[in-house]
This record gives sequence, structure tokens and C-alpha cells, in this order.
Amino acid sequence: MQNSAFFHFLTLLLFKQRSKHIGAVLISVIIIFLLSSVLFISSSLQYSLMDTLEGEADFSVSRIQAGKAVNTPVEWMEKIMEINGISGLTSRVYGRYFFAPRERSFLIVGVDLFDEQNSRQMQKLAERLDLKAFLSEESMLVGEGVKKFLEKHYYKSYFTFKTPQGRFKKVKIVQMLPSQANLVANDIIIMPIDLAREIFGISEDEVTNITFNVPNDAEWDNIVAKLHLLFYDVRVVEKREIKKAYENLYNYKGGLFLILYLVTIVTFILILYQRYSMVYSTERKEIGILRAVGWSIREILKLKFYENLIIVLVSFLLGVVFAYLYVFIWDAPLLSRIFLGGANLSNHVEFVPVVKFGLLGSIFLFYAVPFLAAVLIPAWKIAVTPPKEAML
Amino acid sequence: MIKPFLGWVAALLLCVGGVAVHYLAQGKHAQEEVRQVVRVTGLPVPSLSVAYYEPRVLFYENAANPAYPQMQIINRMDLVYAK
Amino acid sequence: MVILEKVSKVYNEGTTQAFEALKEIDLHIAGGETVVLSGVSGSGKSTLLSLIAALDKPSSGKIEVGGELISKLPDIHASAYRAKRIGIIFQHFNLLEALNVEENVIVPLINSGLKTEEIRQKAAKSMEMAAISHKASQQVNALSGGEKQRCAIARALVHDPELILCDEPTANLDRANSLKFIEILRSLHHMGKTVVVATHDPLFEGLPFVDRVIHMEDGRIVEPAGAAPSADLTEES
Repeated sequence: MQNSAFFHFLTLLLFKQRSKHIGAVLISVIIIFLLSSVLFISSSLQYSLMDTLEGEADFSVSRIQAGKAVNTPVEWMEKIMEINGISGLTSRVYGRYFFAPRERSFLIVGVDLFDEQNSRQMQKLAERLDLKAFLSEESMLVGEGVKKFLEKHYYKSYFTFKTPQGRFKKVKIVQMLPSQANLVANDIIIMPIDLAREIFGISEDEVTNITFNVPNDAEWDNIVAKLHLLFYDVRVVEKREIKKAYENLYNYKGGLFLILYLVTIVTFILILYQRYSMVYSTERKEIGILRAVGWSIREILKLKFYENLIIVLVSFLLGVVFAYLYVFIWDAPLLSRIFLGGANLSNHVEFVPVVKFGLLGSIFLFYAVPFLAAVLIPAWKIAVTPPKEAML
Repeated sequence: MIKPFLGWVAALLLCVGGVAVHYLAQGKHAQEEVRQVVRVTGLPVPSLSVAYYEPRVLFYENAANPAYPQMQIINRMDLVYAK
Repeated sequence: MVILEKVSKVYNEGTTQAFEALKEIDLHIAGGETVVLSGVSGSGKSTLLSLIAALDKPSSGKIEVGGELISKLPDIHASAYRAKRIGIIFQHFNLLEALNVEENVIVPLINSGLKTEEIRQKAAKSMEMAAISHKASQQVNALSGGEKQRCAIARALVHDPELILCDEPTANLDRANSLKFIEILRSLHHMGKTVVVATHDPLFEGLPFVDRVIHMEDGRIVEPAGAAPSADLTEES
């Protein structure tokens, strides 16, 4: 093949001059690695949250008093049921239990285990769970963060809650929730609904909020208006609002990283450009020699283009592979802490592998094009110089 | 010099292939555990420990309750983090 | 073979630092001739060689090599001309330091369209001619001055050029290596190659295979260029 001699020479030069390229490759790999890691983390978190949101009801309704959300009367459910177009009406009992000595909080969720569907789901979640035993004694399932926190404070099998009435409720820790669910379950405590009511002082005729679905989304605005007419102290939260909040949730820090990336890549490109433009660089002499022995400007640019394209591709692939391993195999040890923060309980989130190829493609373009330009422009400038001058 | 180069390229492609296999095989299985918890609790909220404040979301412009437009806007983050 | 008519070269033309390196040079070199351009540094020998090699363009005048007008060639044609018809040997060797001898020798043939095996064969033949085969896999930065020069010769001969240009080829060599280089020039002369050597080395004086010695001073030819026999002027390479 005609091109095999060229390809042979190209790979020969790359290997023989690998020390020249190693710096550029290392820096490129680090930049791509960091950016891809951030991209993978934010995509994974967004995917996980959006996916869980699919199961959320279209509307959740709660009562507000003096601008604050308060317990919602159960009787509201009957009135809401009368509105046409509503389905899946249900109520939820949950809240934050604040552990004052350490200023940490747990999310306690009450589940009606006498409901068949709920108990089936519970059995699937905690496979070794003996539901009868669970219900016979006051018991709870805890998230990994809660378990670790309680163990650290010597609560190995039981934890005592203080109710608003000043009574103490000793609850048995039966099982830990799967760590793969830490994104939502890290600070969760699941207990029977009556126990949750007791701990929060929520009476039988109250719930935390009421949820329902409206299959026809054209009716949504109507439903909201009707609700506001029914109750003057209602707060309606729509699923689409939560979706929007989730979409924005991890874009802020992603934006910061993007700015950092742009600054880094511009600096890197400027350094590359400088290096290749240096008057006494070996690059200059090399191009001069090739010109002198009969290489045309086009042939030299072709050599430089393919040489650097290989570097760009190798760096990019290495950066992305390392980022994938770092985020989805090793769960991003340092970066997840920076990205997620360490609020409340310590959390070890396992990221679901999500790769947005479109974004990766954009990263590649924003890296490859400036890199190649930074190399080819000086190479072209040298190539058009009379070879004798270039060889000096 | 083609053989060593092809060797390195093959090694790189092997890594990429391994990653691809992991991505396809692992799929979204881990997500199933999250879904299971949400099915039980009915609350698809992220845990507080993965939270941080998003200033733009905090300054949410629409009135929370159209019947009381002068009323102070409720902190939007509580709908996300179940505060 | 090589015809120069009223060729001038001015550097930094149009500025206060304008310098006339060549002043209206007329020169005819026949095919198969071995010509030595002698003169002190700054006399214009190297500039003249650069123009013949199409490494630079003259400010005025005409240069023809083997019937082809090369004084106004666009880059792609000038490069093809150098790649096919010219072999150049530089004073400072100008080898690619990262590569070994064989790899340096094959550089002119990379874009020739030949297969890798053919290129290797040509390189082997060329290295044998330059007596450097035994160092084929040695890195050039580990070679002595004489060996580097022989590597440069092999590179200059690998594509079998008709015209060989040598710019101060013995300036960085000791006497022994210079004599070896002269031996190689002799064999090139016997092969019928046209050789032009720009040098101020006294070793080149009185060599029997040198057809002509042209003295240059201040950008001009000071001793008659001596027209080649008329039959040679029409010779096509």
C-alpha cells in the first residue's frame, strides 16, 4: 500500500519522540479525566433522580400556616377525591427527626404495612425480613448512613427516640437498606406508620401530605386552580416543578467545573502553541530538514496532523476510560465528596453508569480542535519559511 | 515500528472494550435498588447528604400560592430534600 | 543540465538591511560534470546552491535544470523537484536526531508511492554506496562526524538523483574523513552524476575528476564560468 510507508514513518516518529509527546499526553489525560469524571457524576445523579421521580405522583398537596408547611388534615382527601380527573389518591407520613447532640437529622418514613402492596414491596426490599416479627416489636429499617452514625454513637441494636410529648420510644434496628440505594436511602428510617406518628406527634386525623395523579396533563392547571378554591391554605407541588429543580440541581457545580476547564484548556493550548513556535525548537529544524529533502508543505502538515490526531485520540480515550473507572468502579473517592458535599450524614453513593455520548463528543471537539490548531498553525508557519532558515 | 504501535492501540481498545462491556452488562441494575426503596417509601427525594444549595433555585420567582401573592415564598429546596 | 541566466538574489529586499548575495550570475553546468564553487565565506556559494536546489527563489533571473524552469516553481512542484531530481548534502549534516541511520536514509522516499519493502531495498543499496551499512540501526546522535556525513550522503543518493549538491561538505570533518568523502565524490562522478560542490576546503584543489573550479567573490563569478560544449546544453536529464 502506498500509505503504509507514510504510516510506518508516522508511528516511527511517534515512538522515537515519545518523550516529547508524553507531557502533552499527561496534561491532556488529566484535563479530560477531570472533566469526564464531573460529567459522569452529574449525569449519573441526574439520571438516578429523574428515574426515581417517574414513580412520584403528579401532585402533592400540603397545608401551610404562616408561610410554613404543616400537617395536612385527612379530611382533605375526601374533598380532593370529588374533583374529576384525579386518581391514585394517597397520603404520606414522614418527617425529619433531629438528633440534637450531634445536629444531624434522619428522614423517618412511616409505611402502612397492613396494606398488602406495601408489605409486598417491603419484603422485596428487605429479603431476609420477617414481617411478623417486624410488626410484633417496634422495629425499623435504616439506611447505611444512619446505621454507621448510630453505631458510632453506640446504638448497635436499638435507638431511643424522644416524642414531642416527652416520652421515649425504644426502636429495634432490624436491617440495613441496600447501600446501592444510598442516593435516596442514606439517611432514611423506615418504620410502621403508627410508630412514625407517635414519634412526630402526628394524630390519626393528620398526615404530612396528600398525593394524587392526574393522567390528563391538559387538566393540570385546572386542578391546581380548583385546589386553591377548595382550600385557601393549601400548597400544591407539581412533579414538573421538582423535575426542573432536579435538572438544575447539579448544573451549578458542573458550570463551575466547566469554567475551570475552559481556563485550563486555554492555558494549555497557549503553552503548546508557544512550544511549537519556539525559534530554536527541534520541531523547526525537523520540518526544515523534511522540506529540504523534498517534502512539500502539504505532506508536512499531513504528518503533523496525523501525529497529533493520534495523540489527541489516545489522550481522550485514556482520560475517558480512567474517568469511567474512577467514577463507576471506584465511586469517585475524592471528587464525589467535593461534588456532593458532606452535609448531614456521611454518604457513600454508588453511581449508576450513565454516559452521555453527545456531551463526550462536545468535550472531544472542544479539546481536539484547539489542540490541533495550536500545533498545526506554528507547523504551517515553519513549513512556509525557506527551509534553510528553518534548519538554522 | 508499526507492530509496537498496533500493540499499544490494541491494549487501549481492549480497555475501551472492557469499559463498554461493563457499561452494557452493568446497565442500570444499581438503579433498581433505588427504585425499590422509593416504591416502599413513596418519597423520591435525595438524601440530605447528597445535597448542596443551588442559589438560583432558592430564588424561585413564581408565587407559591396564587391566592396569597404577598406571602413569603417557601424555600424550594424543601420540596427536593423533604425538609 | 543546469543553466543560470542573470540570476540575482537580494535578502531583505526593500528594507535598509537589503543585502545582495548574488549579482547577475550566468552559469552553465553540463550533465555529468563535477564542478567546485570556491570562495571565502560570504561569497555567495551556498546561496547559489540553495537556488539551484529550489530551497529559495531568485530575486531576478532564470534557472533551468534539465530543461525545467525552477526559478518560479510553486512549493508543491519545488518539493517534487527536490524529492526526485536533487540530492543535497549539508555542512551540518541535518539529520533527524531521533532516528537511526536507515530511518534517516528512507525519509526522502516516504511520499514517493513506493512500497515499504522497495524503500528498504533502495536504502540498503544507498547505504552500501556510502559505506555506512554496518551502522544501519545505530542512532545518528551516536555517530562520529564522518559517519554522519556518510549517512547524509546515503540519504542524498537513495532516490537516485541526477544532480547532487554539496554545501561545505567537509567543513565539520577531519582530514581522513574529508578524503573518504572525496573518494565517494569520485565514484559519483564515474557513475555519471552531475555534482556541484560549494567549498573553501583546499583539499578540493587540483582533484583530477573535478571538471571545473569556479571562483566566486562578493556574489559574482570572478573566473570565467566556461561554457560547456554546446552538445551538452541541449542535454535532457
